[in-house]
Amino acid sequence: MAVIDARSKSELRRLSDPSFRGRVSFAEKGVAICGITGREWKFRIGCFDVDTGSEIRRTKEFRYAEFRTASRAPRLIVSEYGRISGFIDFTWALGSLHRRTVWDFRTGKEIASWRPKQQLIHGIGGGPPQEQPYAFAISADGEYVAEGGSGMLTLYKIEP
Amino acid sequence: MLCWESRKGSDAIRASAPGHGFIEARSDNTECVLIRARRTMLFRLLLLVCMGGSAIAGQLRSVWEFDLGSNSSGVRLEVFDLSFSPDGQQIALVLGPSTDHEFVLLVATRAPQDRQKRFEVNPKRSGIGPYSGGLFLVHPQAANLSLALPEFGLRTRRSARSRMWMDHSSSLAKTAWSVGTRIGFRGSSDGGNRRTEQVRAPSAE
Repeated sequence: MAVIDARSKSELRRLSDPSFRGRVSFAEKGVAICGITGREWKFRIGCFDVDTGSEIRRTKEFRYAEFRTASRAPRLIVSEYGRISGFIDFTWALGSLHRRTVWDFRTGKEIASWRPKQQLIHGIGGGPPQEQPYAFAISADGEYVAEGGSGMLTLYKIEP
Repeated sequence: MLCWESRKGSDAIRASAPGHGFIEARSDNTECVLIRARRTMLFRLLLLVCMGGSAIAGQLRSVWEFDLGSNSSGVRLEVFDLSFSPDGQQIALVLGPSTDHEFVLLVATRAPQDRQKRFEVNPKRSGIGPYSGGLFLVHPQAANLSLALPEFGLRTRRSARSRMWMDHSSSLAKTAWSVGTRIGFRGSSDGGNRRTEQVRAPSAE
């Protein structure tokens, strides 16, 4: 993975380890970078020091997880998914969203956790409406969460 | 709470559990002993079960709720994605009655009902399942589509002058950029023929 200066397009650093899977994101004013690590159905969110490449902290294992970082704080929100078994081909498939957790990667503490509401999404693939969890975001300072769905937008303050 | 009929045998129980609880005489000729240690243990166990097995003390306190409304047919608007501005003053939403009719709405974080800007662009941000929830979302039918809102920046590093930018060669993530007050998005869904579209936002309030 390369860290590139946006203006000059020059490569500043290359991080050989860790091997992230999928999307990565800066956090804490660009000091840290977080991404999904691990192997299938045993994923962790790992945050690493951009300058040294050393690991700051990893979450516990998840079947599947997505995350969003606070750009100026050492916090991120992890969306934890379960898995379901496919009885036809005997393979695992992605299950439903279990909960979302605000995690501090400096302290390793889970600050708050909740199970998001569901909304009906129309027009996906021309099929019937599908249930999906509310969309969400975390503020840059890691103090607020916005969640929206089914015609409502709610701003929450994270209270440890 | 453990109860039994009031008779001599209760004295033995009372004596065998000193300091663990208190005996309460009831009008129905029974006595109850509340064993505090077990009660505390049960309470903690119940609390852990209710919290999904983890000891998370924090919570989300609702600051405000804003009704985004419905379309002309009365269908509640679905929210496909949202994001805070770096200064936290605005929230950008991608919403609409369906995935075919998305638009972008900016609301002020302090007073969402008073200050709004609507952009009639469809960024096709309706991801499916776990692939939703990222700032740079990809629509299943439009690979490498990305969106950057004005000043919603790319990931910034330490100072505003040294902006960082990352491309990790994933099929799900590509470049995004933010130029002044413009919204730009770029797609390469049709055989590598890149299409670029830019929409100028209304002047700042």
